[in-house]
Amino acid sequence: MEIVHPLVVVAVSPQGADPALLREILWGLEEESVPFRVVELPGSCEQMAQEASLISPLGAGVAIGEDGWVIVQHRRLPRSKPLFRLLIRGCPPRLVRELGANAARLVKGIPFKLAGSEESR
Amino acid sequence: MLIAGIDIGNCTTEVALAIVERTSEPRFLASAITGTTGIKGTVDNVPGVMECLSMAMAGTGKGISDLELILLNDATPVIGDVAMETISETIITESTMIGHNPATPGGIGLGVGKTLLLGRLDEAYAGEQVIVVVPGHIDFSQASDQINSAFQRGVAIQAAIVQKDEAVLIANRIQRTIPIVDEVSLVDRVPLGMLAAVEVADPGRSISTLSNPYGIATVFGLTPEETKNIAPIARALIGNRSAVVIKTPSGDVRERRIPAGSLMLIGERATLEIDLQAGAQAILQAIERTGRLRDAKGEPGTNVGGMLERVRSMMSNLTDQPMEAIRIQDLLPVDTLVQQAVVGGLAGELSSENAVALAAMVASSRLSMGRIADRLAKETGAQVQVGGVEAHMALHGALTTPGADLPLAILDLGAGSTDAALAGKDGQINVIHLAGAGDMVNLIIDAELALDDRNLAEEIKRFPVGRVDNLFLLRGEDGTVRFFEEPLDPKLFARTVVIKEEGLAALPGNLSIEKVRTVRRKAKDRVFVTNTFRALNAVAPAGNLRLLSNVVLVGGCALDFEIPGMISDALAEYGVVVGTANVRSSEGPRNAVATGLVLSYADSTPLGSSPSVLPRPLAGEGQR
Repeated sequence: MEIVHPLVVVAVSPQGADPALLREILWGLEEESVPFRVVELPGSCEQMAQEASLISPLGAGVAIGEDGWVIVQHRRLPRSKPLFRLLIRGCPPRLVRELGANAARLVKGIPFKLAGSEESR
Repeated sequence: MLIAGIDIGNCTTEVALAIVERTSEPRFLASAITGTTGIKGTVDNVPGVMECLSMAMAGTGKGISDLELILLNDATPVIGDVAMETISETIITESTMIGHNPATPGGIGLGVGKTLLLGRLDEAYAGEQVIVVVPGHIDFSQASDQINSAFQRGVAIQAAIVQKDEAVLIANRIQRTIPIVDEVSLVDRVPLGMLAAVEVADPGRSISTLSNPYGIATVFGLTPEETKNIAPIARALIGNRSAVVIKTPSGDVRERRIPAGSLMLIGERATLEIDLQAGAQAILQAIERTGRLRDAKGEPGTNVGGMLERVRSMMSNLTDQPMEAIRIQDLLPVDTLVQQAVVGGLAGELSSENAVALAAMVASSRLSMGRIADRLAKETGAQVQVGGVEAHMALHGALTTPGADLPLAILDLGAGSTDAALAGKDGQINVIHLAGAGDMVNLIIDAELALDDRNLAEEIKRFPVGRVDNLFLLRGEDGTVRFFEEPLDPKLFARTVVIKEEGLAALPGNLSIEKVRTVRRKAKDRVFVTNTFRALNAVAPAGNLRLLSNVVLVGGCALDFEIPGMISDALAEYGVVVGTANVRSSEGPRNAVATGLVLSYADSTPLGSSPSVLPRPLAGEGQR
């Protein structure tokens, strides 16, 4: 698959992803005004995230795995050490949206939203 | 005979350990440095001294019990303290504003209308100009639906204020383009039913109407008097991409003015009164005209009065002397811009206010040195001698720098004070102690960058800054680039960082490299370069800098990565050779006083004669 436009690639498995989850990710990207495309990719969440980051001309990918993980990956990071990973079960939607926003911020080069530090504020 | 020279400074305690025999040159065994415990010149220093002694002993095969003599510098006459106060008259009004800079505001333009909660939008009539306030429990799709249906009824919604980070999401879903400011955490404190203005600028630009007092006056139809009151708000909004200003009824505006006050300088030659508003330069000139200061007083009930009282009471606590006995011997004023929280701000907005920072120097009584000596003698079993004016000892130590020779001037750049001493060929010594050094730089950096963290300010002073451009790349303030094999911590991504020896530390907020670098260098310039000239003018023959040939820098701040260069640049035009000392060819600018104590005990050069026949230190006059 080849993508030429500057955009962040969001990978879902061929079986599709939880629409609520996907929506939060996309809203995060939209709030940051960064273009994106959703693609279907096979494999584990780590593999999907890496592949997404490699086909994204901006080098940034997000993957929603079958296993309940969401991963934000950068093209130059090793597969097993992605930028952010989050186990979705029981976590508030705003944290999922934050992952979308952070994928966008990785591209824009502005500081990440870090829920940990937000909550302590 | 095993001897320890000990220098208790404002910030660090240093030890030089040596064996001194009648027949040979002193043989230095070890040096050590630790942080000073307590305030210089008080008994609290003893634990630090003991620690420093054991550090020096370690590895020499000697113990404290082998120590026969301890030489203590006469830490008189000075302790420095710093304080800062605004000099512009403080006006406190209760207008409300939101001037934070959310990363992603929505829409573009200026909207003016009455603030109205989203839930009560159905009460607005067609044509009414309103600004909707969207609290956090309402999500963007609901908010956009309600805004759209109000648009359809003809309600002229002008702008929106949103609690969550959803401005773009709302802007993308409503029928018209209106300015939207989001991430307003205290949205519940936005007064409702009031006239307000919301402005969002194009990406890459900053707002133009609400950052201009006359712009706000135009929007709200203000009187000249009201415009004057709103000016600090406009100033706080300069450079923002988005802002909200809410007009509060005139009854809500309270005004309080605290006058800056005047400073009375009681000097040797004259007593002068000078208004703080005149600024640092004028105060410095006044200090020069009064001759050596005997004391300084602030006008009671004013900012400067309060500031000097604080210095006095702190000093009185520390030195165990009554407040009336505390005499201020020197002042270094520096003009600064402090970041102050804006009253009425809903997101911790800051506005720059003119302020003056004052470093004060107070004579401490010699008595406490005696007490330190007694305590040390008890704890170590060694004989303890207090002797040797600090600057003389520093000169003696500095002379061990390869290539240094008489006549020699030293500049001791410490934490609390800047000291200078000049030794002529004939051994005649001139000494001066001035207020203001490293601590003052920290204070200015802390205030101008609104850090509220003195340790971080110290790090900014000591290390260069840079920006983490991406996960693998750090760009230094000088443009140099460093690549990393392992990705950097996401917390550092796209942030301005202090490049410390042990790693990177992110600075809070959106401080730019340029801003940090400018503030840092300006602070160093206004403290150390100013004091260099003040100090050298005082000790130079006939006050003429051109008659100085060599200036050697000692003290902790001589290790700074840019201060020696700045001083060197400033003195270049006077044909003075300036360099950092290398005490005993090995210690750098450290350990000069401790080394000097040992050397002056060991030999009897004119510099090393017993303290009682040394010329009285100039700044020491009137101290007892």
